[in-house]
Amino acid sequence: MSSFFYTVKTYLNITLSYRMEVLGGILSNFVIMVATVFFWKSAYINTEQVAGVTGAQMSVYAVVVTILSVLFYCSVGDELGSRIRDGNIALDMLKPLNIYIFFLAQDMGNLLSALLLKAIPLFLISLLFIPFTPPVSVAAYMCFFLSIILSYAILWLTSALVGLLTFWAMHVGPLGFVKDVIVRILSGSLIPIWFLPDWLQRLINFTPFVYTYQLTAGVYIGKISVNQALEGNLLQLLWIGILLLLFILLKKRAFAKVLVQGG
Amino acid sequence: MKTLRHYLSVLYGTIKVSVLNQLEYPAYFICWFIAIPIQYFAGISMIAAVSKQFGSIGGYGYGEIIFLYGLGLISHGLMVVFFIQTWNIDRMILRGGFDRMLLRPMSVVFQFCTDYFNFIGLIDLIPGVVIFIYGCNVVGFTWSLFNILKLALVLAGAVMIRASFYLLIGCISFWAKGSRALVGAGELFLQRTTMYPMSVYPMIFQFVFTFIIPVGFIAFYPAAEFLQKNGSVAFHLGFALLTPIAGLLMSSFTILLFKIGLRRYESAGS
Repeated sequence: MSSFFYTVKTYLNITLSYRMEVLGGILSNFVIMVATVFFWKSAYINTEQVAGVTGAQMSVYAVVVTILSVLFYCSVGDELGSRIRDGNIALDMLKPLNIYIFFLAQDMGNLLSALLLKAIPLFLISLLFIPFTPPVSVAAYMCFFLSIILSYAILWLTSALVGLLTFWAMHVGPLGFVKDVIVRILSGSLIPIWFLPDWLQRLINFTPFVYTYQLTAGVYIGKISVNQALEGNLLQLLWIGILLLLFILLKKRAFAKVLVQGG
Repeated sequence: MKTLRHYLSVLYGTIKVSVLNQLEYPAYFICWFIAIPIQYFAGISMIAAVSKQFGSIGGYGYGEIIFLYGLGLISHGLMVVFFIQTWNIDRMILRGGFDRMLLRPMSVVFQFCTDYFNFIGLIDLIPGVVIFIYGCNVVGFTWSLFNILKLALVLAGAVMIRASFYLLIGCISFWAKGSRALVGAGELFLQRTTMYPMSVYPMIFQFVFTFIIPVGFIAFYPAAEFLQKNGSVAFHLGFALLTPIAGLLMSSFTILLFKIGLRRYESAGS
């Protein structure tokens, strides 16, 4: 267990020393956040509310989603992918620690550093553009936090699964990029699905990603009621179960493949 | 005349090498072929859906938004095909890429600008063209000779603005380390100022995007002129010729900066 915390601490230090990357990260997210807030402000200029949401709510949604996106960054997929490609994964599998827990510890370190170096500055900057708006109720707040933890699990497992796929698709380039694009579209982080046509909403509700950003930010702004949020949390748990199962299955087959190829 | 032929033959050689290079491992690009069209088509669909729900965004309706987005995306695609090396300047410095260029008896600026013909970048260009043409149909754009000429000038200027923007960021690497992360932020910045109307931003921002970092000329002002929306802009600068002028000005400035940076690079004796 102490090795877990040691890894967390080490990666926290590593990310702290990459100053340009931190600056670039803050700037990127700053651009996205500000642009999206102005987009919604402008869209709502002639209307009070659309799809049951007001302009003020959407501005908050934009800020919450941006802050979540820096926290939800998972490198496990890329790490797995690159280690599989250069063959080090065979050595990793021989080590006396669970390689996936190691990657999780790494991502936790990233999460902490992102919280300190990116999330808090972004939040402070957001106060220049919109007033501070807390969640609509204490219950909503608690659902919000629960949703964050479960969303992270869904996104982490997805990243790990995509990383594992590299065993079979080694030469097709960065699968992580494809995954990122798809997640960004389906998770309501670009535009929440309430604004999309009904048939499309129904389709997207069958994917896990709408229960990450959209559920979390949605309950924060009050668009999603506490009851709906709790239903959403249950669905999140369901998806975590499915993804975990898939992950374990794929892991076994990947391991077998490594053995067959003689490492 | 002989020098021009020489330059052209070097250009031809570089393009040939780049393309052959990219064709060597075609499978690697499958991810791009899938992800990038999805990204752009989904992006425009969402913005268009929102504009339908809300009536207009920044004064731009459904078809106009698609027209604007497509126009911006075409110049992005062209930039990615011809000038993607501007994204890798810090890596080139690290790996001595400029040493290679400085040793050759040819202008480094020319070498750098023609260094890589990213034919994979067509994957960015094609969605742009498709979306733009669709937008043109919806708004009833007339393909007159005059309009086509204006379009060509606008696109040329827009590509210059985009390329010099990235070159500017890259030049930072001549003085400080690692501008790679800033390139990502730069990409997002250009996206968010060209993929929807600049009129959504407050006046101060519009001022900056017009007179300080002229990104407004990449898509917004040209679109305002083509769509005849000059009345709804803060600054009446919807004049197609301004884009190539802005492009030339910005390019001259950044190329000068680039040369200064190179001189510093040389004298540092790396």
